Parts: sequence; C-alpha cells; structure tokens
Amino acid sequence: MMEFERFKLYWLATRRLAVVLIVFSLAVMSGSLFFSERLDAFHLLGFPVGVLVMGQGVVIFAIAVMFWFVGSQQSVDTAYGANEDI
Amino acid sequence: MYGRQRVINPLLGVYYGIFTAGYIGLGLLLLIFEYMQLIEGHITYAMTLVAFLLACGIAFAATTRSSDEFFASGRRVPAGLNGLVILMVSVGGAGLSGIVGAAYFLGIDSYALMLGLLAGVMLAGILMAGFVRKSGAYTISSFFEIRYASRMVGVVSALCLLLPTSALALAELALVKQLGPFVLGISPQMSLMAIVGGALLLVLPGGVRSMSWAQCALAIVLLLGLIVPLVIISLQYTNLPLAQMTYGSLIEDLAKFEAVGGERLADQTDHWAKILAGGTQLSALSFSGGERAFGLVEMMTLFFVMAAGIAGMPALLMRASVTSSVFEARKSFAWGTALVGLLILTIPAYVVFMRYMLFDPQAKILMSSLPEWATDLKSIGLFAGEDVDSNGQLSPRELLLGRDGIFVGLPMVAGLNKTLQSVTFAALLAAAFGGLTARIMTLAQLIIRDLNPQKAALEADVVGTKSLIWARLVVVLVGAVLCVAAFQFEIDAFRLFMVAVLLSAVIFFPALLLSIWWRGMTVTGLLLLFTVGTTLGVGLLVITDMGVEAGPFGLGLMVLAPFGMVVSLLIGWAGSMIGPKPTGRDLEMLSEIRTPGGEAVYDRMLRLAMPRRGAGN
Repeated sequence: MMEFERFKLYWLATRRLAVVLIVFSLAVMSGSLFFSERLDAFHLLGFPVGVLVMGQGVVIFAIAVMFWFVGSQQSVDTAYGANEDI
Repeated sequence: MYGRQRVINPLLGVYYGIFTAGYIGLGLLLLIFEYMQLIEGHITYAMTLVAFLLACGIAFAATTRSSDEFFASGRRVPAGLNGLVILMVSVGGAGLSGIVGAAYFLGIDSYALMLGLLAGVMLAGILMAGFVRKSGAYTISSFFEIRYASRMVGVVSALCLLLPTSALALAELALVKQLGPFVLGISPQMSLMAIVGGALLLVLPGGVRSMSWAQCALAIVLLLGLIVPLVIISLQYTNLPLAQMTYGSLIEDLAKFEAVGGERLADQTDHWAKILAGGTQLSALSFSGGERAFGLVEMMTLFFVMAAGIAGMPALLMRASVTSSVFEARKSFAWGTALVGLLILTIPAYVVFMRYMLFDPQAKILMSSLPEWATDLKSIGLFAGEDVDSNGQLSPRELLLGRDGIFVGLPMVAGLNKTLQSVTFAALLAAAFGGLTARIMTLAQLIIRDLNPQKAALEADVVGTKSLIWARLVVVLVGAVLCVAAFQFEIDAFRLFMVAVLLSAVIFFPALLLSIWWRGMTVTGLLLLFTVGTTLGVGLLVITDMGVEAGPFGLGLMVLAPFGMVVSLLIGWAGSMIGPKPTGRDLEMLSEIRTPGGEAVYDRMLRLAMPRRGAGN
C-alpha cells in the first residue's frame, strides 16, 4: 500500500482526470444531440453536418478519448508509484 | 493460483485468425456451390451450424476443473479479445436488432440511443472497470460484499441483480422465439430449445473461460455478418466499399424519396412507444431533418438513461474481472468502446441503405406480387402494407415493417444471394448466443456464489471438484427455467432489453458510482438505495406498462427514469449521512480498491484463508 499522503495526491490526480474526461465527453456527446437540428442545415461530403458530427465525429472522438484515458491514467499511476506489480 | 503472474497465451491471435479464415473460407465455398447450383436450401443451417460448432470446439478446448478459471477465466483474457466480448455483452442480439430497427424508424433521433450506448461503455471503462478489477470480485454483488465486508449487502444486491439480468436473458430468448422460425425454419419452441441448449454447451465446459473464448469467435461472426453484406451493397450503390463513409451521398436522394406525397397509412405519433411495443410500423422520420420523434428533453434523457444503464449493466462490468490487471481492464473497455463505435458507425449506414432500396420509386413493391423478402417477413408478422391510394403498389407511406425485420431484411431487400443473407442471419444468432451465454453465466454466478448460504465452503474448494459440479448444475437449471419462462411469456425482445437498461440505470449505476467515488457511502445508504431504487424502477415499469404508456404527469418512461436515478443517488447519500459513519475497515478497503498496484483484494483474501495452498504458488 502507498503511504497516505502520497495516496491522497494520487487520488486527486485520478479524480481530476476522470471528472474532466467524463464531463468533456458527455458535453460533446449531448451537445452534438442538442445542436444536430441546426447543424443539419449545412452539408459536407454529402452528409448533413449534424449527422456527420453525431455519426462519425463524436464516435471517433469517444474512441480517441478512451485510449487517451488508458495512457494518461497509466502515467498517473506510474508517477505516484501506484502502478501494478502483478 | 492466487497471486501469481498470469500468462496470456501468445497464440490466441493466431487461433482466432484461423477461425476467421475458416469462416470466410466456408462462406466462399458456399458461394461457389450456390453459384454452381449444387446447393439450394440449408445454406443458413450450414453457416450457423459451422460457426456454432467452431465456437463449441473452442469452448470444449477451454474445459476447466479450476474454480478460478470457471468463474473468472483465470484472469487471462487479453484486452483486444475482451473488447470483442464487451461488444457482444453490451448489446446482445436483442439490443442489436432493436437498435438497428429503432434507427430505421426514428431516423436522426436514434443517435440518442446509439450515443448513449457508446457513452455507457466509456463510463464503465473510466468510472468503474479498473476498481472492479482491483477488487477481484467475480460478480457485482461480490464487489459490494468485498467493499463493505457485509454478507447482507452481497445477498440484497444479488437479489436486485436477478431482475435486470433475467430481463436481458429473456430478451435474447424472445428474439430467437420470433426470428427462429424464419431464420432456421423450425418452430418457436424448437428455436428456444436449440439456443438454450447451444448456450449451455458453450458455458458448461469451462464456465466464464469457455464462454469468453467462444464469445470472441461469435463476435467475429457478428462483425463479419454486419459488415460484409453492407460492403457489397455499398459497392453496388456508391462504387466504394466503405459504407460507413459513403451513405451520406444517398441521404439527399433519400429525402426526395421520403417526400413522396399521399395519405399516411396509420397515425404516426409516439414513435418510441411503438418501437417498444413491437409489431409493424411506418418509417415516418428521416435522417435529413423534418419531423422528429423526440423533443430535446426526451432526447437528452434517453441518452443519459442509456449511458447509465449500460455502464451499470452487471454482465458488462464483470468483463473487467477476467483481465490480467487493472491496466488491461481499462484497455479492454477502450477496445470495447472502439468496437461499439464501429457498430455505431455502421448502423446508420445499414438503415440508410435499407430505406434507400425500399423507398426508391424505381423499385416498386407491387401488391399483386410481393417480393420474396416481403412474403418471408410477412410470415412472421414483420411486414404489412395497405395500398391506401389504390395504385397497386406500396409507397414509403404505406409500407409497414417490424422493428426486428430490419437487420435480417437488408440483404434480402438488396437481393443478395442466400449465402450472404445467411451471413447476416448467422451474425444475429451469434449476437443472441453471445448475449444469452453471458446472462446465463451471470445468473448462475449470482445463485452459486452470492445467494449461496454455503459460500465460504465454495470458496474453500479452490480446485473446484465439488463446487464446479454444483455450478454446472445451476447453469443447467438457469437455462431450463429461462427456457420455460420464454415459452410462457410473450414480451417484446427490445422492450425487455430497455427494461434491463432502466433498472441498471436506476439501481446499479448510482450504487456503483457512490461506492467507488464517495468515501462517505455506508452499508445503510447502500441498502436504502437498493430498496428505494428497485421499488422506483419496478414501479415506473408497472405504471408505464414497460414504457409503452405515459406515466405520471403524462411523461414517458425515459423522461421519468432520470428522476429515479437522482432519487436513488439522494437516498444513498442521505442514508449514509443519517446512519453510522463508515468504519475504518471500509475506508481502508476503499483506498485499496482505488490503488491499482498489488494483488486483487479477493485473490488475497482467498490466499490468506488458505496459506498452505497459497504458499505453493
């Protein structure tokens, strides 16, 4: 187990990362739903932009965020000595 | 066994590569036979049976006599393959068929559902998976039991978990009961017995271990069945194979097809309730603007309920426990997100092509001579139409389709040959198999581990001679009970899927969120949350007839559900504030669960309980 003070700092960093990613991702996803009707007035590559953003952009964004989270959380774990030994 | 370095088989990729090549080879062989007219019928049997037999072979190769292997796959499933299983478990056959159907009918508004699914897997990965893996729990109930060191919490949560897990299992069976006669040409009863028997064959040899490896194979069948016919259709219509990127070019033309005038066949309001009710309905809503199914509030609430429900889904979170480490658990959910993302990139393409082919004025659907696909779908109640304007053909405004007919219908409407149609049918059956095996195993784990008064004796039997005999008997019993229940009840598959999503959102998402992320959460708060959350969830379902009727204040189920989630969160918080404070042991355990380093908590508890056996490892 880590010492308590170090653990507190580790948890702060972990919590900050999770909260930022969740809030940011949910805002982007729900924002795309919110603005889809207005965006559909425009077209790009044959797609209404609302469909393009929700159906392609947000999906690719979500996948990128998840892999970025895995890497970042691992960096946080390593930085605070909380990474795995098994 | 416990505490040792877990070695992942480096040849797994090769095995699944061979499986994929074999399955594609079979498809090509059948294509040649079909082209040479050497085979006419039984192509669907050949595709599904060979896929199933291969999966069965994988399951039997993963036979085990170890408890650790049976209940957690020896914690050796690599992230990429676990991602495939996460795809299967998060949607299953009922979810897949339902979401594709909903996308067809709801048009652009169906993104609330699809993005909710994607957000759910993300939330599970970021907020929960790593912590569940560190706890080492085999089930969500065991996680709560370890977190609070309370047997009562484990039992109560297991009882609550029975509801959504049973609903999900019955959803898969309801889908097969409906589509089995059409896809396999056998009676609904035979279809049910076949799928339950098949699922048992995948689970019995090695429990979670054999199930996991078989599910990976089934997920490959699913992805091939989803993508291959679509690539061919995309080539036919756009000259490019990437359907996910090319369907946009059809949307403008599709809007013109959809704008064909004439009187509508049926009153088309409350689209979501109609989707949940099943039956046939009109495709009234477009991908290119115009009339919408949902108001803004409904769209947002559906998105958040779907996200929370998927994140709290018991069988999904348990995929974290089969990985070799916390890092691998997180990575699994990243792969799961990528594969669910691929599904969501594909579904709109699927339905836009389907609509385009159906609504194209050149491709007339004549009432006097219905095409073969329409006759086939009509035979199982998934096609109807009435020539309102008496012009002898069905326009988009006169064409009624069943929600579950969309997924299987695309290759038929496109006029693809039987082999390619069979690839799609096999994909749906694979998804149903994958979903059902996961639900059966989750239910069996709840009964054999969490609700078992002799749990301590079971845990002492690490080698698993006796406990695994009992576990296998419980698996068979669960399968039999589900089969009988599916015979008796006539409930729509997707409606049951959404029932499970709602219950998970109202009960388990708040419970897991508070238990992991709030130090102040106590046993009192959790038990109150389970009691109130379950009462609220079931109450909402009863009042709204599982989402088909309006609830209090004329609000629909999906608008009311977030209130249920908030109430559950508040009850959990208030109960913890009012009751006794968290004990030092609870806080210490929480800190340990929050730290990825070190041995899994449950593995350590077992090792310490059996020092001699643990020392050998």
